[in-house]
Amino acid sequence: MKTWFLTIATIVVCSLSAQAQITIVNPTFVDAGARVTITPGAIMYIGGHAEIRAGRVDVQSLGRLIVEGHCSIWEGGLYLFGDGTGLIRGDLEIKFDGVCWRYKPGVLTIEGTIYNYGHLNNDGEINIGR
Amino acid sequence: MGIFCSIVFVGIDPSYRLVTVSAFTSNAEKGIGSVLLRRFAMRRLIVSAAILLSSILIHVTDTDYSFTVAMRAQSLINFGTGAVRNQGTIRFRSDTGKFMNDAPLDSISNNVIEFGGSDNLFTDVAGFTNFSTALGQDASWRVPGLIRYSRSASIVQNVQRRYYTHLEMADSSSKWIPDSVFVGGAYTIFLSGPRTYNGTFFYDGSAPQNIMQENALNGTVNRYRALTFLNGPKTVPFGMEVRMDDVFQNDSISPLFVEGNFYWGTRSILNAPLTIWVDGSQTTGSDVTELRANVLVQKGNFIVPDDADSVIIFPTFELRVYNDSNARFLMGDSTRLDVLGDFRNLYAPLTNVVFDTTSLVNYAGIQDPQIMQATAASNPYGHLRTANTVKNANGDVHLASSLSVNDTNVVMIPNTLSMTLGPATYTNNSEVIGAFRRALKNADTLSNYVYNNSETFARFFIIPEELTMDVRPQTRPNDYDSTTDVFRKITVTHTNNYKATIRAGYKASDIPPTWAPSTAERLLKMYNAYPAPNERALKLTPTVPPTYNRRPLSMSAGIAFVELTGIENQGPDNLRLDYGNDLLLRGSRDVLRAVASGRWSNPFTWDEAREPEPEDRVIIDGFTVHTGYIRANDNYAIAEAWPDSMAMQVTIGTQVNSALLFGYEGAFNTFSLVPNPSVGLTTQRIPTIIEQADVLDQTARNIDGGLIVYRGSTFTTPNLTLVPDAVVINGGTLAVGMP
Repeated sequence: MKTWFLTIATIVVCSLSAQAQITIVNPTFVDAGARVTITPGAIMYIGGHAEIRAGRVDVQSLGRLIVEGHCSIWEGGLYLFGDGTGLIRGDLEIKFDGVCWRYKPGVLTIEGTIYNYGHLNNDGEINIGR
Repeated sequence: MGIFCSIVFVGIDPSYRLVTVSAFTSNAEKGIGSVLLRRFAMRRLIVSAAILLSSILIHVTDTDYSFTVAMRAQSLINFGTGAVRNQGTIRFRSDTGKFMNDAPLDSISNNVIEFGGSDNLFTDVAGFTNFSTALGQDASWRVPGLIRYSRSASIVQNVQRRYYTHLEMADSSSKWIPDSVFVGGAYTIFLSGPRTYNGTFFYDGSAPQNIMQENALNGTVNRYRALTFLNGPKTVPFGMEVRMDDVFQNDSISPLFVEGNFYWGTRSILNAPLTIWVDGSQTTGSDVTELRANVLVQKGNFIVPDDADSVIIFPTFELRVYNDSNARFLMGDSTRLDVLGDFRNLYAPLTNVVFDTTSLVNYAGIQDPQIMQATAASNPYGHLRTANTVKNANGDVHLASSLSVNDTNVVMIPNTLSMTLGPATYTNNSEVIGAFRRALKNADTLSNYVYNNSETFARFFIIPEELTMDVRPQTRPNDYDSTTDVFRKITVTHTNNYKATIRAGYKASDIPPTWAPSTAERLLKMYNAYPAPNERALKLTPTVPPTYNRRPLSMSAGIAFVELTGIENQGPDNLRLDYGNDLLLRGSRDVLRAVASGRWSNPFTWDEAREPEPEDRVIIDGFTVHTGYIRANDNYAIAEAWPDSMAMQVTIGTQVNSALLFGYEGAFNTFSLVPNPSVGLTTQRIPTIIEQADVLDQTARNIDGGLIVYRGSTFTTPNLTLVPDAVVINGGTLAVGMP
C-alpha cells in the first residue's frame, strides 16, 4: 500500500531560534490521531512541514518518508522499522509526549536540528545535518 | 530570531513523482542553503518569484531541481525533559553540529555518536561546554558510549576536550586532540588520519583499560604528548608500541602492566606499581623518572636509555627484577639510578642486568641498613655511589668505573667489592668494611690505588694481577695485643707477585683504651701477623732503615695512617707479608737498634727511622753512633732532641765498630741518660785499639771504640756496666750516678 498526501500551495510563516522550539504554522501534513503506515517500497513525501499531533506514523522496512520541511511530533510518534528510511529536510521536534524511534538497521536523516523534549530512541542510524 | 516566508508549490505527476518548489526570502537569516533534490526528467520548469520582502530566483530544469530551506543549525538539542536512547549510531555531519543537552545524564544512553564535522561539540542548550549539563564536561557527566571522530576528507577534526567513555579516531581526516581528553573505556584508532596531541591525554577508567598504540618516533603527531593514567589498572597490550613526547604519570590506584613496548617521554612519575611481563618493555624518558611505586620486572625489559636523566626509586618502593633470565634491567650511557628505596635482582646469576660503564647507581636511602644489590662480574655497575645510611651488600659487588662512598660505611662482609683501576673516594671518613678487591691489569706504578678508605691504598713496584684488602675496623687482628696494637684487622690476599708501598688507615675508634703508656701512634709499625694456631707477628723492615710515613690522629681529620714502602708477598721475613696474613699495626716501643753509623739524632741511624726518645732502649751493635757534633759519615746537623735524657737504656754491642761517641758544638756539650736509678749504659765491646779522645773525630770512618767521651764533652749515666775487658775512653767528663 502506498500512502501519500497532496496539499495545496501553502504559505508558511515560521518563527524560530536555534535554541527554541520550532513553530509550524499551516503544516503540510497533520496527523491528528491516525495511524499512518508506510509499507515496504512506498514513499511518503511531504512537501512542506509535518506534524504528528496524535497517533503515529510507521515507516515499515523498505518504506520511505521524506519531509521537505520541519517535522514536529506532539503525541504519538514516528517509528521507522528495519530498513525503512526517513529524510527530514528541516528540523525534527519531539514534544514532551512525542516519540521518535529509529529501529535498526535503517537510517533516519534530519538535515536540520533535532529538538527533543520527549523520547528519541535509536537502534539504527540517525544522521544530523547535511 | 528571524522571520522567513515561503511559498510552497506542490505538484504531482501522473507517475506519482512529486514536484515541489519552495521559494524563501529572509531578512538576514543565516543558513539559507540550496538543496539539490532530485532529478526531474518530465519537464523543464523555470520559476521566477518575487516575494514581498525579497526575491530569489529558483531554477528548475529537467536535470536539476533546486530547493531552498532555512538551515540554522544541524544539532541535536535535548531539553530537560528529553530522553535519548541510542543503541545505534547518531551521526553529526555538519562542521558545527552540536549535541546540546539539558537533561539529566540518566536520560541519555548511547551506543555510538559519530562526529563528522570539524568542530562538533557537546554543550548545554545555552551553548556552554562546562559547569552545566553538557555531556562530558567532567567525570560525573562522562559521555556514555562511543564517540567517534570520523570523516573521509582532508580536513582537520577538532576533538573536544571531554570525559569520554569510549573514543575512536577513524577515517582519513586529521585529528587535533587538545589537552585534557579523558577516556574511561576504550580508545581506538581505526584507519585514522594523522592525530596531533596537544596536551595531556588521560586514561581514567576504573575498569582495566588498554592503552592504544601511538608510535611515531618523534613529535606529537601519531605520538602522545603527555599521558596520565587514573582510577584503575592500565595495560600496554602485547604487540602494542606506545610512545610519547612529554610527561607521564599515573595515580596510586592505577597500576600499569606492560606487555608491549612503552616509551616514556620526558619526566615520568609512577605512583602505582608497574609490572613488566609477557616480554614487555618499558623505556624511561629523557627527564627524571620518579618511581613512587614498585616496579616489578617479571619478564621483559626495564630500560633506562642512553642519556636519559635520573631514575629515582623513592623510599619504601622497590625495583625488583625477578628470577628469570628474561627479566632484565638495563642502564644506558650516562644514566643514573638513585636508590632511595630498594633495588633487587632475584635472578641468581645476576647476568640479567646491564649497566653501561658510564652509568651511575646511587644508593642514598635512609633505611639503616640499606641493601646494596650484588652484581655479576660480567655485568658490573658502572659508577657506584653510596650515601646517608650504612649499606649492606647482599652478595659480591662488581663495578667497572668508580666508587664513591659518602657519609657512612659500606659493609661487604662476607662478600667482596671488586673494581678495577678507577677512583675510590670517600667522605666523612666512611669506609668499605670487608673485602675490597682490585683487578689490576693495566695498572701503573705511579698511581695510588685506594682501597677501603681514603687513607688505605697501595702503590706498586711490582703489579699483581689482583690484590684484595679485607679491612675490618674494631676487629681483632692476628696476634693482637691490646696494650700495643691497633684494633683493626687488615688482611691482604693477592694473585701473582707484588711489591708495594702500602698505606693503612685507622681511626680513633680502633685505638683501644688498654694501650700501655709506652705505646704511641708515632711508634706504629707494620707487622706480618700469622693466624692461629701459631699466632705471631714479624716486624716489617723492608729497607734499612724502613721507609715509614705516618700521620697520627691528632693531625688527621678522622683517619690517620701508617705507610711502609717495600712490602712484598715473598722474600725474607723483614719484607714479606704472607698471603692471607694480617697487616698488623703495632705501636709498641721496641728496642731501637742502630742500623747505620751516624748521629744519634739522625732518624736514619735507627731501625724505626726516628731518634730515640727518653722512654727508649737502644742497642748499638756494629755501628758508630756519635752525639753532639757533626761527622762526615752523615753530616747530620740537627741537634739531639733530648740531650739530658737520651734513653732509658743503652747497650753497646760486641761487634766490631760498635761505638757511642760524645762530642760537642760550642756549649752544646752535656749529655745524659734519663736521670733515674734504674737507667744505665752497658758496653760489651772489647776494642782492638784504644782510640784517642783528646780531639773530636769528625771523619766518616767507623770507630771501634765502645764508649768514648771526647775532651770538652760531658756524659752522665746513672749506672754504667762494663763487661770484662770492655773499654771506656774518657777525654772529657764521664759522670756515673744520679746527678
